[in-house]
Amino acid sequence: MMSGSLSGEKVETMGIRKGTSAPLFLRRFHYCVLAVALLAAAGILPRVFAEPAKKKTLGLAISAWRTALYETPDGKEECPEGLTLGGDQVWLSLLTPEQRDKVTKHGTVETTQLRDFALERGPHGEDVCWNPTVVKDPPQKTVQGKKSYGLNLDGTDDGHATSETCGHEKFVTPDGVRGIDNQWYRVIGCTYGWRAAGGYTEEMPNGELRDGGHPILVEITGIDDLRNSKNVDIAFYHSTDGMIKDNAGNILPNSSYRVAKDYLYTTHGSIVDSVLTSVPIDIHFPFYAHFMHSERFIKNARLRLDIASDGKSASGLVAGYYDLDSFWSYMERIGELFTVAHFDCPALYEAVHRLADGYPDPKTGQCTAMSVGFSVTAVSGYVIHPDAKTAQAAGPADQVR
Amino acid sequence: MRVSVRYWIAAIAASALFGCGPSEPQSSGGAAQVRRLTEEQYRQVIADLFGKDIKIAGHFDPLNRTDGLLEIGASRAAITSSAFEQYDLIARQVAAQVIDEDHRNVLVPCSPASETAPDPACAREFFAKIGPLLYRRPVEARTLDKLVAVAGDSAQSVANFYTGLASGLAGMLETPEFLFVADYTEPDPNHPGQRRLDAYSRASRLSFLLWNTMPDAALLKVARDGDLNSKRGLKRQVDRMLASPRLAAGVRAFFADMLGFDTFDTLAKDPIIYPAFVQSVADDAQEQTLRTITDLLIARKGDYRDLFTTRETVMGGPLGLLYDVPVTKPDGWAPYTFSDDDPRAGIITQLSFVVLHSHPGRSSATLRGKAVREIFLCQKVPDPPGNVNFSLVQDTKNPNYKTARQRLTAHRSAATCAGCHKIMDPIGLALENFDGAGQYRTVENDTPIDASGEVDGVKFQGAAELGKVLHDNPAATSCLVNRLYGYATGRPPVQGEKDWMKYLQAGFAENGYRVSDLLRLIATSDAFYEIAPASGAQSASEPSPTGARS
Repeated sequence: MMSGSLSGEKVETMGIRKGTSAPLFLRRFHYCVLAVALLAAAGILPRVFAEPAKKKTLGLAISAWRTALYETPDGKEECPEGLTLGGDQVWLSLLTPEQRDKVTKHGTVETTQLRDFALERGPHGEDVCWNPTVVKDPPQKTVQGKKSYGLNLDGTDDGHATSETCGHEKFVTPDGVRGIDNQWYRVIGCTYGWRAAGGYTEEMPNGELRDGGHPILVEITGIDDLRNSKNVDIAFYHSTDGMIKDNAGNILPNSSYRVAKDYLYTTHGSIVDSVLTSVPIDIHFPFYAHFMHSERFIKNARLRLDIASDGKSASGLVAGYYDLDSFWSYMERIGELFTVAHFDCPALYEAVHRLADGYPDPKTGQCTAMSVGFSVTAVSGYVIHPDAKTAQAAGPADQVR
Repeated sequence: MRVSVRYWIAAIAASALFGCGPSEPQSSGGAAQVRRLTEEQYRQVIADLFGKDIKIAGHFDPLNRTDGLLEIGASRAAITSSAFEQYDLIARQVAAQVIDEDHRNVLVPCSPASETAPDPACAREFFAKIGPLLYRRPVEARTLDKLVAVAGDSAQSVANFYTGLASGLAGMLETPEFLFVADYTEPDPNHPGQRRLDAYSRASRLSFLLWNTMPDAALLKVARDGDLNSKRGLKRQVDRMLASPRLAAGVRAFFADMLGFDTFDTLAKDPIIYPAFVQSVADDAQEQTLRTITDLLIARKGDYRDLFTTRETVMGGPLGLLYDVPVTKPDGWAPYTFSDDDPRAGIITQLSFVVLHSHPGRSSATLRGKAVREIFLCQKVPDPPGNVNFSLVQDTKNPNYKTARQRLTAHRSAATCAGCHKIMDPIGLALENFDGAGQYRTVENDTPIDASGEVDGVKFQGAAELGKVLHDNPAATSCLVNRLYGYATGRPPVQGEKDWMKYLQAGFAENGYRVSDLLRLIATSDAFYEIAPASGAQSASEPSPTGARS
């Protein structure tokens, strides 16, 4: 509401014309305004009083993406029944000794051949990863422990069924936060291929990222302060540029990433005590692994990222509901990895549907998605938009880097 | 009518005055040189003649930097028998590729009557085509005869025409006529008693200066016709060559030499201390600077001095990691302008300079100061005495000396060190905001960096101001003239060229310190082709077609 100039006559403040007989407190106010203006002009006042602070931007490139697994060294706490068997082991275990001896030619058949036998064992030779319901295998071993990483996604304390969820058990985080939803962990937490020791299924895409893969980008704009910012805008992009690693294989910060066309998800959120939290939205997260482009469709996906004080890295969770169709379209294509990742497609398919806890089908009541928490790490990076013809140096006032 | 007469008188007078600028002073010329092709020139010649897809795997013996330039070192370089093995190996590799099935149809101008037998006519056609370009002058008939005979013998023994051709080509690539650029001379008709370069040596000197490669067919033709000895003919060729896109290669080669980029080949950085200094950074850093130079000096015909202050450059590849700036084209190069308040301005703040003149695990104000003196101001800084104790300056974790300034101040307390450090450190300390990998920093060991400095009594604050000081330092432009002329002739200027060098420097200034104009001034002069009277073995011989050196 202040306008005019210090040198002209038509100086108005708070709508009161100069020279009129204003009350004493208003005249004092005039003096204060004048003093503040003079100090600002002289550069004496801190910049924040002289002009509004510029909003900052933080670009992040997700450099690793793993299922948030709570694992103990011997696995007995979470998997007291042991780990799941691979499809080949399950199949062999179902054979009589005579049948087993016959198909293995007295133990001389190579693993690759056994893999084919175990994979194409439907009644009519169907591939049991593409057709996981044509045979019925013993149930998959699932997590029995009470601890897990993740977030409370359904808002309940006990996981009871709601109009948007199916009933399920809750977890508690290792540091005591209750009400955690992570049915995805419950399903694959006892499967070698997802655990740290095996890790094949998830290390492969992470390895591809480290070897120049194209990361998912998170651009946070409207930041007042890296530690606390009430309202920020968040955009998810997919890069067309690869990540750069150092000699030790670590992804380096401050690389530049051009954004791919036709990929953009936007939401908003806040930063509180250096933790970014986003408002949930549905996101298709692309990734490349096993020589294929794939995606994870996460419904109601949200971020919870701890941002390093220097803004050069962040880590935390991507949580939401993993769409089962999206999951299985990936699994059916990597089905043949069961011999190294030790999963059994029919049992896994049955487990994910039995334990799914989100997005019930209105007709059948069967949940079509599964609560999940992914552990992600990210490094800072410059997000280059298509209209950026030339780059200007971004000073610290513009970019958090 | 009167107006018309007056107009013509004025026009003639103006024309006369224009043409009466300071005339070129008499120059003694220097000794004739025999320069070994640099590796870059070798590669460029092969690429120009046979195509860029001909691979050259391996390196030749490095040249010794002499008087600030490898190109002067090339005039004093020989090829030892062990080094020759590498030339032999590479020559055979090149020849084998030229005649392989992917290339022969394009590079061999004829098809043999039989691929399993000699074909002297086709072989002669091939050697006659490439010979003058490789040797940079006509090839005598008897030399051609020898090459055809070599090819025939070889083809006969292995029953393969193309293998025979390769034998002859490999032999050509191993001859002194190809590997050394010799100054052949002839009497100078304009200065009786003096000698000058013959037309073909003129062509070579021009071509290697402006394009860093052999003369093309058009230039050789002008040399053969004698036009290159005329002012008009020479000017026409110089204009043509300066207008060619190939000029960039010549300018790049000169600055790569002057800036000492050959030492990038052995540059190493500690990956623990500087993880972002990944493999390709060294190459990209050189490329960035060379692109900055060619953009300013050629594309925009800018003032050489602005290289010390320009904020315009290019950014690409992993360089953004170290500059900590966005790169709009990570898989290529894109223009980039540092903002006015950015601490980086000029090529001495680019990675290529601050990284090259640092240690593997720390910056070095001393090396950087020395490099500024020697590279840009042509001032020789003595080497340190042999018994200097460097332990204090190397101890970057010393709690009592947290910054380079503190460590060097303590080091300079030794009288034997103070003299030289006084002329190096005040320059280099202004670049201390850039660590050993060229990354910007404001503190060292949690202690604020004081980047103030001084050059010859002129004080300044920070790297950008250092650039301004160098921009205004007359030694910077005279150094450039000196270096460029040394590069062009393969030798440092001699006493008898004193006036000529002054003339060049004045011309450089008059033309707004434009390097392309300086190149023109040199290339169209008489002095550039003048050769001092022979006094030793290296001096000029009579013009002698290749294959019959006397």
